[in-house]
Amino acid sequence: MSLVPGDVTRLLERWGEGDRDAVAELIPVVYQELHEMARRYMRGERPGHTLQCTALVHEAYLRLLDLDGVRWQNRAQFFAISARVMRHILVDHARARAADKRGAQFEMVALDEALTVPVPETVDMLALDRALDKLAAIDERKVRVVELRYFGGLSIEETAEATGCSPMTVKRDWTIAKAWLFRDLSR
Amino acid sequence: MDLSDAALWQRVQDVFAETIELPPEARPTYLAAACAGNAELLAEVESLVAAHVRGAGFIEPVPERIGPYRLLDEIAHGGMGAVYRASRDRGEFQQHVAIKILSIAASPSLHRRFVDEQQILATLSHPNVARLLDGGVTRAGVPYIVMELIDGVPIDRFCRELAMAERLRLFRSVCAAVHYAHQHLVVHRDLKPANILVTADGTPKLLDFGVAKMLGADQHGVTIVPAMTPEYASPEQRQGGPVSTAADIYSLGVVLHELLTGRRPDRPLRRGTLPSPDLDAIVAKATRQEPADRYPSAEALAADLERFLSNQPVEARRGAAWYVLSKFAVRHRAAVTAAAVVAAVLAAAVALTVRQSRLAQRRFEDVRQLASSVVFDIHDAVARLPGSTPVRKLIVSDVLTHLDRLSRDAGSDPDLRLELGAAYVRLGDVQGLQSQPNLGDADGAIASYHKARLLLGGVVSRSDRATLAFAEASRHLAMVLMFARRRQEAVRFSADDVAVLEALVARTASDEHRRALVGAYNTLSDADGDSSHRLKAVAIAEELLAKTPADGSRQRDVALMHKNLASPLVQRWAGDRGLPHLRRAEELDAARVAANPANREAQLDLSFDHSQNGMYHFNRENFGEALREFQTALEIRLRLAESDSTDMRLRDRLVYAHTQVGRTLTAMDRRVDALAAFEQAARLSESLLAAEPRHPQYRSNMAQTQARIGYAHDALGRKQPACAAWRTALRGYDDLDRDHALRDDEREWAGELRTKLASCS
Repeated sequence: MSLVPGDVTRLLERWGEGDRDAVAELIPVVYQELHEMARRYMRGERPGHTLQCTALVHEAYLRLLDLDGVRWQNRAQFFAISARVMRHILVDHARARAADKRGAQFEMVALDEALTVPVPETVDMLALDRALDKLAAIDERKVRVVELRYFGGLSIEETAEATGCSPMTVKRDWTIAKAWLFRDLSR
Repeated sequence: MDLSDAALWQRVQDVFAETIELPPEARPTYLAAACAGNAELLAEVESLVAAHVRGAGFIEPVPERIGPYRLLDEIAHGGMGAVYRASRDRGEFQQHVAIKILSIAASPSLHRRFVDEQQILATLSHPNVARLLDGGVTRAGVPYIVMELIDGVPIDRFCRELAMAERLRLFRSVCAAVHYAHQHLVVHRDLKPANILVTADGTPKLLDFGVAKMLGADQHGVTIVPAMTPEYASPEQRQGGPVSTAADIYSLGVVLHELLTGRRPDRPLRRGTLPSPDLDAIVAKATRQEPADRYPSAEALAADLERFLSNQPVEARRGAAWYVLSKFAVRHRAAVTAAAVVAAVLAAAVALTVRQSRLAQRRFEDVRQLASSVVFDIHDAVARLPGSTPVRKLIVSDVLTHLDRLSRDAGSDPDLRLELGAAYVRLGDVQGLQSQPNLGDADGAIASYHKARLLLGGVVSRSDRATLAFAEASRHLAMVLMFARRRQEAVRFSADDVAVLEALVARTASDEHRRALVGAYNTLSDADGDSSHRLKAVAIAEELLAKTPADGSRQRDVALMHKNLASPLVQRWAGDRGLPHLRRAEELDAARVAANPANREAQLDLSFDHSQNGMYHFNRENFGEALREFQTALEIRLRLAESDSTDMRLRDRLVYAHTQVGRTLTAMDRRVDALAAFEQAARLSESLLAAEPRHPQYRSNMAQTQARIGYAHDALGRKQPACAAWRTALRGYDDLDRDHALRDDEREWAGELRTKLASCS
């Protein structure tokens, strides 16, 4: 995947003009980039930094977008996509682990192949994902705010810019969505 | 309640937003008025407000800025949160500080602890104590404190360059700082060289009052706290007893010994290890078993050091004789000491009853958080990423330290023991359970499972969960022991696992417990080689499946049992006995795939069935049949890899599938095709090694594949490439041997390669 920053900017522009195919082209680019960056972080090539998905999303933005040519609408779209992609990366990962866990206790076997099964299950990400889906049925906007804030790492102000709402509204949405989700996960 | 009712949802949001703006005490009144007559609305807002309070830190990102500070990078993290280096722009220059943030979902007790700590630190202002600069709550409601950022080295390192007298003078400043804190009713509780930094100009600075607790407000105050770093912790801390300023005196004694000799004192203390009998006596007095026998204050310790430096007789050497001769002189002091002891004991008793429940709750949450979320999540998240091993090792050693510390204080609290036991099991899994990504630390894993069994053993019959946890600890211990070729022990613990689960099933007859028993029987069969346990397992698994024939996970259980039963029976000597098992496994896995073609796990399982079928036929020299099966397995895996090229395990399994195809083609004397298959395997191995160059399995695969490539070239009469491949293979095996990672069969390969290479020029 060797796209230059200008390509992503152009894809975002095409999307802005109503070209749905552009999204389909964009998502793999963003996905690939986020995965790659996560790996570099873990190899310790960036010492002194903590691994944070949100930091990755921001860095992906800096790497993928042609900063001179980008318009604020593109920027908002980009974060909307990245945040959603990051949510899917994390949820898929958690789901794969949960699935593997089910049979894990039986897999010390002398098969001709070493069956390796990953890691204990963590329900948190899956539960959060489910809770977000439930919340979406009630209030879609809250979910977009959570995605941008939690998975995309945007500040209140940036989220306001990306959603076209006022910072006051975003803050209120965020606070109530957090409480709603926390309550759902505690049940 | 029907939240899709848009009007109600709007009203809930409005009332919620109003309520959280009010101080807590005003909320009930407001809520009652705002929700008058609408119980549904009231219940909804009340529970949301409760969640808002408890979940302040939930999914809250670490901010880039806090107040005027910009967060730069993380410098440490612990049970309570993370410490960041941060900077503040002040006109001309930048001020650097350390900010400690509660980085995990905050519980009320953690909040309280954080606020406690902040209050403690705020009362301290001393040139040798790292200063608290600021504190507060982020916009998201997460508390933080801002501390002086100390640029220095640990005192033990700093002392290496110093003469004896200079070390003692430096240490006196440390005593003075500790004494100052004690006067402000603060016990440090975790004094150790790492917490005493010395700056370039030689100023010692005490760090990390993160574990300090405010002593009771009255002068008899004694707090009960968990022991911290065990090497420096006083006996009473290690035993979870009441802790007073005397605990710090003890730790100071240990640190002093280390600064003077480069190592910590032996237990019990051996005399004559220090450069002078006076210093011997001083360290001995500071580290007495009984708190009341130690120096009464850090200042008194410093004063004795001063006496030593000025060649005066030290207080610490005034022994029994001195007391006998000067009874009158000591009468007063003895009375004071006795009174102090009584007061301390009384205060301890009071403190115990008052604080125990709160303290237990705190520890409990410590463990819970550790076991159920943050640390293991981080580990799990990075485990699949290539090259993450160093990070994971760091995480594991952190967790181990923390758990060991907590379990010393677990006492007999059954809930705490259960949580700790469960946490040790997870830790053991991460350290060395082969059926998942692990750090290959079998010894560490074995130790952790033993600790888990010790903790859980006492509570095993208290709840089903405890029984299951004990069983799991025993089973995983058996698995790792088997892998370490300690079969006898493995059988013992595996039998434990079966025994407790059989008793549980006899009592509850629950399906879930029977399913656990299936796993236990299966492992016992692996351990003692007696397949009758596995037949019991398969009978139970089939019975469970008969209840819900379409249940995919039960189908998988049964299929796995049959695969295990078939595994030894694919050998030629077993005749046809393996066939029914192979067929049943394939039938079930095929049904799972048919039910949901997108189920990757089922697809992979089915590919294992074909692979096993292939082995069955290969061993019976039905090569045409074997090739078809191996190719089917290969095709399934190639399809899976197309849709996810990042799955390392799948890539590893592809290496195996190509190899089996190649072996079969070799047996059919289709050498050119075989070579192509081996070269595919080599390419994939290379990509795996690129990600993780030291992975023993990948290195082993590569060596074996190169050896096979050599044989293929050799058979085709190409001596030169054959020798080159053999050399690469042998280098790989020698390399594994150096790391003590060579298996017996691989040693044979290596020997054979050496013979072959003798014929190369």
